[in-house]
Amino acid sequence: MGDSRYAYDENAQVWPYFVLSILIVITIPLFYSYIANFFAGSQRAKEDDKDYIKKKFDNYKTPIDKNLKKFESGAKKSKVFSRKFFVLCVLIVLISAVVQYAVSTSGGGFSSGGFDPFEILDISSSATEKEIKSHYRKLSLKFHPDKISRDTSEADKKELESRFVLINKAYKALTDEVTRANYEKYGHPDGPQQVTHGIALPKWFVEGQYSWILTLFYAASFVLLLPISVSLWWNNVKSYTKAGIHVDTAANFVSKLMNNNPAEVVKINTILKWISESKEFQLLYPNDSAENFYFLIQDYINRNFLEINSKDLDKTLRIVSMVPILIDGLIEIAATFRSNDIVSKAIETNKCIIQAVNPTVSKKYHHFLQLPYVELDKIDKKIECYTLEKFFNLADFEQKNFLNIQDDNKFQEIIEIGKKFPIIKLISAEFKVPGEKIVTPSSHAHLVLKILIKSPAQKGQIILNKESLIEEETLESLKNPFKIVSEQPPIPPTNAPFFPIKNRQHNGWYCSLILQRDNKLSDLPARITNLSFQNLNKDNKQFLNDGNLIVGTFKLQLQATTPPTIGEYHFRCNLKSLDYFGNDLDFPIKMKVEDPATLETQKTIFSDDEDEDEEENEDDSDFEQEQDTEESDFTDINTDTEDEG
Amino acid sequence: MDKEDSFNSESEFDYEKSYDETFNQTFFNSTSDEQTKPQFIRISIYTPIIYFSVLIAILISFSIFYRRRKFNKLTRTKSIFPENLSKELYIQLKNSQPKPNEKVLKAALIRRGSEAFKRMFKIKESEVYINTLYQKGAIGDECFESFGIDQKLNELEFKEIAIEAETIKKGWGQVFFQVCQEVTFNEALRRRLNVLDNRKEDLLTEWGIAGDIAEEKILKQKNGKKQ
Repeated sequence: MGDSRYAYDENAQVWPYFVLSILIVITIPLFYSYIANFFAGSQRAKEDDKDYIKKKFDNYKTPIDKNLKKFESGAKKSKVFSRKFFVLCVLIVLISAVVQYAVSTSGGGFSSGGFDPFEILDISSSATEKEIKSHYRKLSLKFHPDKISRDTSEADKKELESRFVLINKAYKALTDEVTRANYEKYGHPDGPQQVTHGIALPKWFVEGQYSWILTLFYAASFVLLLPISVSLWWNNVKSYTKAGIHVDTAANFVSKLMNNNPAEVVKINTILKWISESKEFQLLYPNDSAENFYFLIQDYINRNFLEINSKDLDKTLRIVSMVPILIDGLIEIAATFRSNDIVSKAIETNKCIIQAVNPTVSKKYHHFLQLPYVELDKIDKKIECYTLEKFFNLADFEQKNFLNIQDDNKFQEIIEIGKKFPIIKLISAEFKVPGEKIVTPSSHAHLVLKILIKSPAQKGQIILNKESLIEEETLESLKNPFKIVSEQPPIPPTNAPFFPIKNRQHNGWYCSLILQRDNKLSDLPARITNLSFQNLNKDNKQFLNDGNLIVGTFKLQLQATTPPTIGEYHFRCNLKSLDYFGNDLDFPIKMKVEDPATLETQKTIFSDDEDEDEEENEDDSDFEQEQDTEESDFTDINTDTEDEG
Repeated sequence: MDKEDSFNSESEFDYEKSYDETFNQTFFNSTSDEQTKPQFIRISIYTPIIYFSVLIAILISFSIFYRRRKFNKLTRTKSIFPENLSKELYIQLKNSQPKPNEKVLKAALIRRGSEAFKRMFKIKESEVYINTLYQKGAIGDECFESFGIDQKLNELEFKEIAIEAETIKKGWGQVFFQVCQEVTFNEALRRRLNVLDNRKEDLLTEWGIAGDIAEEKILKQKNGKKQ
């Protein structure tokens, strides 16, 4: 049995390495995440440069430009020179100090105590006895003391001799019975070696008069620091939901939803009232009441910036920047309650916040308030023009008069930005069961939408390549039908000059499927995140003649299986933009569940009734819009919107 | 005897010596020159008693503290529903002096019962939603627990109402709940009917066209007057 005992680190040989390894374990992941964060940020900035809008809004100064800049710079500062950065600096300085110390103290380094006969003999561990023997002979010929030439110095001689002894030992360890047994048992051919267990702390630190430091350190870290940090972390985890909103806020939303009177109309103001009761605001500004927050948000969406002083404006921007997250939490809860009214109103409220527009006040002209320089009071209300598409049908001077902007440069900028405004058009929509030509009973189906993004300035009948619309079913697409959706480029950031957070990643459309039977959500709404905006760069000629218009695809996985009985089931599909007004789709859709035995190929639905305004849809009966087009020919779409006004 | 004694002592001595030697050899090989004597530390009988009493006192105080905190938390949890006004009204009427007419008391109890039914329907309807929300992590523990408490409280409320109904009139209990349910349905219908007028106004203002229509009306009136 080997002799084992504990040795303190008297010469300060080990503990620097101990400290070093601990520091490195902390530093490397931290450093990696910091760098990754940094590069992700710059990557995003690069993509934004390629963006179709190219920061056109730089010329346009909002009335609250100063405060927005302040908010932005505050947010940026915290990104590059965050606390993480300082922690990293301190850690790196510590590491270099420890390395310096270790280098200066350790003179000779360590002599390795390990003994590996295979390594000494320079053979592989799987060598046979014959190989060992032949190799040993070769080596002993080389290193035998008698074979050493006389010219070599004393020191070299000694070294060679010791090498020869080692080789002998190694050979014996592999061939001789006793030495081999010794080697296998104790790891050394001479028998048990002295084993020391080093403690990476100097003796004076453990047993000397400074031992109280160590005791204090242990007590502080295990009795105080560890439980406190764990409880802090756990409380933090417990007080925020997965969606990132405070649990009290979520509880408030749940209570509002449960006590909501379904007969009453949910308004944007109702949603804003619920939002302003959030715990998040109270934590930030404990002295303000929920009513106060409500008025601040109201001032923001009404653009009443002149009446607020600069300090309150900063507060308003801070609050407003948090609203989209809260609305998202509300959408999730309301969607679980299957309440279509509240979900769609919440999305509507999100638009108001992003664009700083209040549709209740703006009297149908809110689409134009998304453009720069446009002011509600200046718009000529005699001209009945409520959408951007209609606006681009007007003559130049009419446009100028309508918006009441005479400065040519400003007007040009408005036109440029207006042209890049994404208008969404539906090309086709159908329910699809992977691998089937029809919708079969009790199967997992998804909704396939073919969408065209176009500029409001592009008009006329366009011809689409019929073949490009048909998805071929390959083994790959059967495996993952959603691959085609995620392969599309991500939706570029929103043009929102008033919203304090630039380059928001959380944009796009919410797609929800509603049962016509009870006007409730049949599924959780899904967000469209990937869609190409390439078509916006084409001028009208290219748009009409170019066969290469990009048609986007979106698929919504249905959670429940299709109905088990054969028949027709009526739904309403609703695409609502999170950021832009005048950018929604609302159309009826029919699910025809058929018996797989009768192999009739029938397209499920097609509808070309497109509505820009959700207001109108709520007036119209959804049933009347339904068109049963058995032989749907979706090659030409009418993009003229003469039906408006 | 003597011989045996001496033999015994001798053997004992030998044994101890040999034991010591082997002990030293095996465990203190490197420090064999150090003479080690077993050390005895005197401990008072109170030491373990104090130790255990302190330990138990800490555990007991922790449990008391923990329970009290939990109880306080329970009393502080907010109900998902707003204040139950019909219940308050009934209790106030019952305790008021002079005693109100029995019919008034009965009507108040029916109101209370219908409110309980309304809550029951709401709870039943949302139970699935709350569970899925909790599983998804979209709501916190507190909200989920308060929903459970509301559920239990409503059950208790039904029991309480049944007892009250029995005390007012024996055998009324069975008919009573049927009446309450009908009242609940009727009220729900009424709410939907009554809200229709407001709905129109609300939607008009929401779409930002309320002003237009009012202006049109005024214009029409003016034109009418002119004609």
